[in-house]
Amino acid sequence: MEAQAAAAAYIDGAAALLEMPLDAERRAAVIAATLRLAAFAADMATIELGHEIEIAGVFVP
Amino acid sequence: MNACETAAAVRSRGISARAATGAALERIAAADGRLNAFTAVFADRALARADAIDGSLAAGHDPGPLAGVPFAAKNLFDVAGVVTRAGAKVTASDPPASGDAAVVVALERAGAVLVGATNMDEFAYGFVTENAHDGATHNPHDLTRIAGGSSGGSAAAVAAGIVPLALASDTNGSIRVPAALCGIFGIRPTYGTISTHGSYPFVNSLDTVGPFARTAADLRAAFDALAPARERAAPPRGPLRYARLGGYFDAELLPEARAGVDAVCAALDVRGVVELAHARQAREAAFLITAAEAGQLHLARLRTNAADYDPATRDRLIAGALMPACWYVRAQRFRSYFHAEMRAAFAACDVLIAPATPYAAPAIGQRTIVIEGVETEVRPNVGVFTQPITLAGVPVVTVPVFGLGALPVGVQLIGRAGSERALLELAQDLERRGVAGAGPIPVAV
Repeated sequence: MEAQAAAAAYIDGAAALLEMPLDAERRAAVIAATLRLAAFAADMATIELGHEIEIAGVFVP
Repeated sequence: MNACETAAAVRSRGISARAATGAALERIAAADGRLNAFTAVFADRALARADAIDGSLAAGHDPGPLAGVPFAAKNLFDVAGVVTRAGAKVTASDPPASGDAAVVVALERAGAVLVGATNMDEFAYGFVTENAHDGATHNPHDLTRIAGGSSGGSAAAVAAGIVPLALASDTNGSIRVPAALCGIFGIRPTYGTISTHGSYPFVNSLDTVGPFARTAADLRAAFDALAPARERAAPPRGPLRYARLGGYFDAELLPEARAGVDAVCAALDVRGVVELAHARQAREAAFLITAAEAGQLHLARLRTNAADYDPATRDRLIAGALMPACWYVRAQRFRSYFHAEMRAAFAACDVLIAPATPYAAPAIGQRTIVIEGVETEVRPNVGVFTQPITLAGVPVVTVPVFGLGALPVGVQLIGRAGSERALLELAQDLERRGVAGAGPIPVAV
């Protein structure tokens, strides 16, 4: 519930800042999608990345 | 006839390019009412192109290795004079494309003939091709089932034998998933190998484009026409070493998908198993990068035209547009980390073998599926085995395997960057040995 409230507050703020209108139905769906992204981001954040690891700008296999 | 047979017949003047093209147009008219694979048919352009090829042959010129071969293109590729819809309604009022996409030019330069544009998930953001505006594409092997996505129209058109070749795109699995579910061959090339110029972008740092075919030889012929010569020149490096991807890639799948991998591994006498320790996180990173880049791309339109988007696409795009930047940057840094993990995996082998999807084609409209007693959502999880490989940017050929159930499954042959030729030769070998292959044209069509 805490994550839900945090996501809702974040979406309301970000939508206002980026001038993205959200009606109640769309807001709920966007919050649900954001919670899924948050869960993925949290799991990915458990992998320790050294400072030397930069973003993969140009693909090098 | 497949593409190579058609080209041989046209080049030897056994049939005319006009006849081959006309036959494809007739097949569209006869079958597409049941499949809904096509969103546009370019009969005038196709017949004019075919006449030009016949004229070239009559004058003693070589019209190219794919002379007179009809092909279709996912409707995110530019076609001169046509609005590039990318499966969307909001693009309908865009100006028509001023020229053809680079891949359309490349196939036509090789003598092939574009006959139509095909259905897809809106903006390529999906794995099912159940498009809110254009309807669902039906799987030729069972019309009640999905063709997979997002390139479902192109895959269904090839599986049904309407065209021997079709163009598609693959960001998170949009070639590999529909190839598997429709029982045909498909190739996602090394990132950057085939030009995406003139294709509607989805996720710039992950987007690739490539062909579908019903035979491995046709797939190879199409790749040869699409890839620059320097890419084609990369030679196989002696006998290939194989390994099966285990762990993440051997969990949460139905028996038919596992059996497909078993069949390929048995044929190749594969004994080694490799695990990618962070495959799950690789999928998550691909998911986050996709959301952020696609969301940003559509931000301006979403502000004013959100109601015109497919609901299945819209809310994920908005969430991506509003996503914190740190998640995106972290995902891109993880991508570097995962490249190193893939390099390590290829230290002891040349080809990694994995399922393309966790199950055969689900029903149209099916929302969930039970795997090992757990009910999971269909839409986000069809690509669970393709998305991690996306992050590595390496080439994958998906081969179809039949006979394990009522519907085909697909197996991913994953190679090092630039190893497309070796993968295509392996696919041909598996087809020759009867392990993989598209089988006969489905009777449902």
